[in-house]
Amino acid sequence: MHTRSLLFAMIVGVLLCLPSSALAQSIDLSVEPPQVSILIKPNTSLLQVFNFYNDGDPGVFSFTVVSFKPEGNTGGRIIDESIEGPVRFSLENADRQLNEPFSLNSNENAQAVLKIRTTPQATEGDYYYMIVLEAYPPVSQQSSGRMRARLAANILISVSANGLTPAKLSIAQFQVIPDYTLSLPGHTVYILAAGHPASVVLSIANTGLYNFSPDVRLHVEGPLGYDQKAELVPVTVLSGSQRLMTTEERTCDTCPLFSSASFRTGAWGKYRVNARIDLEGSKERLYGLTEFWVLPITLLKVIGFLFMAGSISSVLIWYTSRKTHGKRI
Amino acid sequence: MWKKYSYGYIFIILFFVLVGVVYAEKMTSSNYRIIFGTTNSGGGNADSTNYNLAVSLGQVAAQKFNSTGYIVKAGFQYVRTLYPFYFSISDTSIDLGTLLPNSPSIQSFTVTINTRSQGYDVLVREETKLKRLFSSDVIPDTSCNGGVDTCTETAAALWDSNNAYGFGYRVTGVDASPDFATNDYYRPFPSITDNEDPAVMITSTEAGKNRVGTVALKANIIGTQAAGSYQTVLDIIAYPKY
Repeated sequence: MHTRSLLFAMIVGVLLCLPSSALAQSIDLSVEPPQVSILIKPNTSLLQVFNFYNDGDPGVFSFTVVSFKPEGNTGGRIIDESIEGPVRFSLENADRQLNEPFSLNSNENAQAVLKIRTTPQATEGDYYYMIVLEAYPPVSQQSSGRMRARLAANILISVSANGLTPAKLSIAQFQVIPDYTLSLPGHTVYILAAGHPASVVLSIANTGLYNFSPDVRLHVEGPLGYDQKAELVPVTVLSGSQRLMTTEERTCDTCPLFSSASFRTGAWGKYRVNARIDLEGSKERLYGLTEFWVLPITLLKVIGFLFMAGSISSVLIWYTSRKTHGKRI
Repeated sequence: MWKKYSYGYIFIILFFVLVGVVYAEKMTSSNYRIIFGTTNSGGGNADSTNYNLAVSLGQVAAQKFNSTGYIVKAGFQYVRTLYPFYFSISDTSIDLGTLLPNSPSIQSFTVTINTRSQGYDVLVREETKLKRLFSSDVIPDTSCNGGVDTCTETAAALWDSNNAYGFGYRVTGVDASPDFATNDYYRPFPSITDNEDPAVMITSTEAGKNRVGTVALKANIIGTQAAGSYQTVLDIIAYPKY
């Protein structure tokens, strides 16, 4: 009797434990470094190590390299699943090749020792790639969507024979996002309602051959000694693209999503925003200036309404009294 | 008396006429000017909005470049936090259950990102349309409710009608693509077999930790849909912005 009870308890215990082990399969991947920028001569090779960590379930993975081109002004891209350009890639790992599957256990590190080589005839300029760790999708017999997860790190390659990378940058857009605009001959006045934050948009265009990470500082000056500064993140402006420069974190929840920085405004009056743009390795700077006005729009509307009402009343009173005066005569 | 106030009236009326007529949040690029460097360079030529900067390597970097033929800068120039780029998917196989006509099945999974860089993108596309095993039968991609509520691969639209069929998805979360902001707004997946580019479903231009997006897959079938198990592979790629 005692043995049978024990056996029953064991079976129940096993049955209770089993379902808890049937968890959904998850992907947890990370990569270090997430980006490398390489300045390289033609006909040269180097090794670059990327460490991919698998903190999720065991699975089958592979390494691939793909090209991309910049798109839009917020760091987007168009991915080309092949490798374009005069750069050749191979893995120097003893046990792994590009596009070849391998298994990876939980909490295991997959190191990619990537050999990068430029061809002898490589044209000077930039070429952009990603190294990708691909997790193969699981097998299922159900009606389902199965995930092929891919994690990528950026490889930005600048080919230069002499190490010089001339920059050709310009300010594509620099202004405050206004509540109102007032068009005057040859000039546009940007107006913000008092109390509204000033959201500034600064976009930099790179028409040169090489990518750059400009250091940008904004300085806002206004009435009554108003003085605010902001440092923007030196994001990479890829060759042949524009980039919206932004602060590290959004400084205002209600501000437009695609603005560079936001400032609380103070007293009514004229404000000036100065942008100073520095490039690593260059002694020269790029400057920009934009201006806007902060006005008590609501108060002006109320005053305007009262004036309008007052003037209409005055005219009516004047007209009525004139008519009455005329009748008396 | 009338003359005394007439200037005030004219000013106020002019102000409101001028401001009121042109008020719009129009952005132009005419309101900036570029002043070329005057410090350390003795000024520059303001010939156009393009600006050529002579960029040179530092002495140590130049020596290394000349001897090895390359220079590598790993990571980002601006790093305040010390964690790698991280990407997780809570469940890699989403069971849509038994699909019944005019009774949508909605199943979810989460995507989590840690990024110390200048933001990130998560893109998605399907390998094929939802396809019946060992057959060429498919559940078409959704076009949402149709008519004015027709969605595309890059623009979500309302899909709350049980008589609108197909397969699609929506994303919720702080970094979800803005077109998903309204409830019951869905998109179809771009398809590799149709040579469509992957669509950005989650994106941010900020550094952040534990940025979670919830992806809901929705399938709704017509009564004449052939019975069987329908599957597709969703290709999801995450990368840090440059």
